Amino acid sequence: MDDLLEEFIAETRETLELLSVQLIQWERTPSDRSLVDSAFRFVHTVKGSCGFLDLPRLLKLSHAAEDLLSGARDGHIAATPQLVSAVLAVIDKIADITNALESGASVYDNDEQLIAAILAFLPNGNASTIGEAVLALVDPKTEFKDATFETKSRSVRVSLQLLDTLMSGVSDMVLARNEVSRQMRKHETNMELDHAFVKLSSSVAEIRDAIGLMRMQPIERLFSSLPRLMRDICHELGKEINLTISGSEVDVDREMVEALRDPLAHILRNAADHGIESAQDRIASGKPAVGKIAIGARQSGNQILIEVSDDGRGINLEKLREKAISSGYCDDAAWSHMAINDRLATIFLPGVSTAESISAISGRGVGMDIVRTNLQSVGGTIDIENVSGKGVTLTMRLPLTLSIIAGLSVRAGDQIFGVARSSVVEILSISNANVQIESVAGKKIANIRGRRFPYGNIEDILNIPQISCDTSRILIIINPAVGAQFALEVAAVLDNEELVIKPGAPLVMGTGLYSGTSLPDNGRPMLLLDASGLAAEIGADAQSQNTSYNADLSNKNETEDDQASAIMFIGMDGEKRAIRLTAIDRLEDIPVSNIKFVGGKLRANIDGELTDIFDLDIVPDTGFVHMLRLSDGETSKYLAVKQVLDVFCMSKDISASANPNLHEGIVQVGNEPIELLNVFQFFELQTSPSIASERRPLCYIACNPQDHWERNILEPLLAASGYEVSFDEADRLAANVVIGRDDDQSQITNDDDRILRLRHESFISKNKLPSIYRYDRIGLISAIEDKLSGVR
Amino acid sequence: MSNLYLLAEIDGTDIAIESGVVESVVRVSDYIPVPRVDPLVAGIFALRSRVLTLIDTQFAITGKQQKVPPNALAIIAEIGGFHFGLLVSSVKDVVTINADQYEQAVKPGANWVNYTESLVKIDGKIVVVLCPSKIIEGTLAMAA
Repeated sequence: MDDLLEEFIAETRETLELLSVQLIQWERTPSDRSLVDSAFRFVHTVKGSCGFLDLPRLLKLSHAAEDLLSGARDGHIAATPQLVSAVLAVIDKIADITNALESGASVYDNDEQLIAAILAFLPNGNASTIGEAVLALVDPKTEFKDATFETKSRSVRVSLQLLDTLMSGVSDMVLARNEVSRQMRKHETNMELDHAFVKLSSSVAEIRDAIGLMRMQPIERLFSSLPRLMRDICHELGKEINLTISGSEVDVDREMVEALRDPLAHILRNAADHGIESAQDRIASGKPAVGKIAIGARQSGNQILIEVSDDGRGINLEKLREKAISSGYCDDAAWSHMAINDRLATIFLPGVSTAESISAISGRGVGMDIVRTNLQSVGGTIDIENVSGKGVTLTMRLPLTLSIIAGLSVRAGDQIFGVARSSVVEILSISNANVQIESVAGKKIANIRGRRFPYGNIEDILNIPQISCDTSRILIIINPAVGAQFALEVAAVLDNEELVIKPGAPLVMGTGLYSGTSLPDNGRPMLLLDASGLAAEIGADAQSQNTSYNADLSNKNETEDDQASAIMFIGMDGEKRAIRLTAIDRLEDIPVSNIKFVGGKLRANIDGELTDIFDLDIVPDTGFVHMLRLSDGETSKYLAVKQVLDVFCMSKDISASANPNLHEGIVQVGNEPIELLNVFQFFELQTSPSIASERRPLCYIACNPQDHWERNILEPLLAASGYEVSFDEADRLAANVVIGRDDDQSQITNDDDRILRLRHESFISKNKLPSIYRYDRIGLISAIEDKLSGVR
Repeated sequence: MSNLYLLAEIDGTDIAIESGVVESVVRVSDYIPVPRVDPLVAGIFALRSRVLTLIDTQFAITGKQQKVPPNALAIIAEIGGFHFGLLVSSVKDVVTINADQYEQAVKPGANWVNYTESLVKIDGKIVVVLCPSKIIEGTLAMAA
């Protein structure tokens, strides 16, 4: 609650400053409706926040100001200097109370007078009181102001713009680093340069991760305030509503949380106030007396979906029509030509509301307008699904983050587009024997290994000319956030790169085909294709749209079972082998110049990251080596292959292998037995521990500054085994293990379980405490492990 | 509010845009078309590591789509949190417009009326004062 209040105070203060500016502009140009609109929106937002933080004084004041502005917006009253100063007086009062909230000071209560003064401006108000009222406004507020107490803030509010600048700076840095690495590959490399570059790369990666984290927070931060808000709304409306929340753990971009705060509050208010009927009406229409509103968040592909559904009366289209026409957005004829979705969408226009009465909660037709504006500003969209009498479901779709994603660039005609790699399931050549494009009932369907996918041709979808000389076209299987998997035919898949994604202008995003724009290294902007939008275009969206989350999950499991497929390849020794497809991240051609024999092993040095290579004995002098990139989710390994043959579905029965360490078993492909490689072997040997665990155990080495053995031999050994090592006395308390020489009594006391003693002699002498010979590497590591696990 | 205005030309008509809205004027050397988008959008282009939307201003007003010439001139403006480049055929001058220059008697033509703030007289010629945000937001409202 404290957090919320703190944020409210900071936000209100900013809002009020902006609001004063708007009001003064409005006073100058009274005819500018957009200024009144935005002033009204500000006050409405303040009112909304006051409502759910239970600040009755502020609520009353802002409600009065809103009434007045609403009158002005509808043209009942004109802007006069008196009117504006009355509103400004209320705003000053709100500012005073807000400041007082923070400092704990008290503010003189003349709210009633102010409100009376404000309401006198309304057409039905008593005009004769205006003069008096304005006098009351000239309230020497400073007289009543207590000395404000200085308060200290515990965190720094950093503007999102600054964070954004930082983020885009880092993004540019990543791109520049990639460019440097490309340039380095062209030239003769030298060890020192390589070393410096690796260092640079790792610190760039660290900064990027840190900034990424800085921007992410669980959506719970947003959801946690909702039950309270709901309770208050219910209380006020005298309705009983059950709010269920799911998916609080989904992480979203901080900016997204801010952008969603107001929309969600407004949607909830609307749902509770207009959606859910009174208990009597509900019982009369055969529904349970207690209303139901459900909010769910989930991450789906490269999108975050937030669904708010209620089981109320739904949107009354007839009323919406009247409102839309009376607000002058369309006429009767236009309405009758509109598709049902377009009609529903008029609810997002400013000034349209189907509410009969205006309450403190909602009904002025301003909420939904804010909802859409806020969502669009972060590249999101909102859809309404309305079942008259049964309820409304609002689905907000947001880009996962405004930052960096792994993307594929694909070519369509002569243009290049990006596709988020997370949504790509498989890439096949269209000439592959397993692929057939079938034509069924006027629609094309891709049949891949017996599974049928809706099919679309990218040039047809985007309406751009195909280049005739494209012979080997590519089929990409895409799993969209919404809808079923589908196959997309593109001219070529060009590259696999990290793309910095920014939302495009609403005009561009409005097509529904793109999820953002990106600027790759070559400096030519690129559009990122939206998988869900393409699915809708191809007609792959109908199948799974209405399934609940659970049904979704069970579907997934089934398909995964069916799909146990493996990739068949010819190994470096010329033998045909197979490996499970799930273990493979992607196929890569690694230039020979990037393969180095370092640390007793062949490794690939890609963008400053070393990755182990298996099954490669002889490195050719020039050219590329085909590699399968294997991943266990955390680390990656390369498996060198001569040639990749095919992907096939494995039958359920796998014959046992005589050497289970190397082969999981033997599978039949056609009539040919093929060894299925055991993926485990590549990762078991030495998963580099520093990557595997985030928090490494801390070893404190007690020694004198001049002890070279500890510093030059012991420390590197421990560090290489994955321990954090410290010589700093200050870390001793926090250390998991304390290591010292057995002859150095000053450093090692006996009352500490964490102590491990090392001795110089290979055999232990009599009357000495237990210790380990200092060159017994295995003994030392296992002793540390014993200490860590609590064995004494 | 400043009363400085940028004078430019669209489809043979002199227009003025309030200088406060104008971030800069650039030449667009390379742009990428956006398939299936509203014809108002000529494409997207890169400017100082940002991706901007290029608006076919002539189409908005006259309904005639133009072919974007190489090195086309565009006025950069921020509208609704996004940056846009508004195509113009040429940029002429920056002038001050005073209250007595407003032309009340004449009304703009049907194509223009939705995007026009007012008409002004400059050196005896009538110039249309355009509101860039109306060009972009007007289309949005229609699309909704």
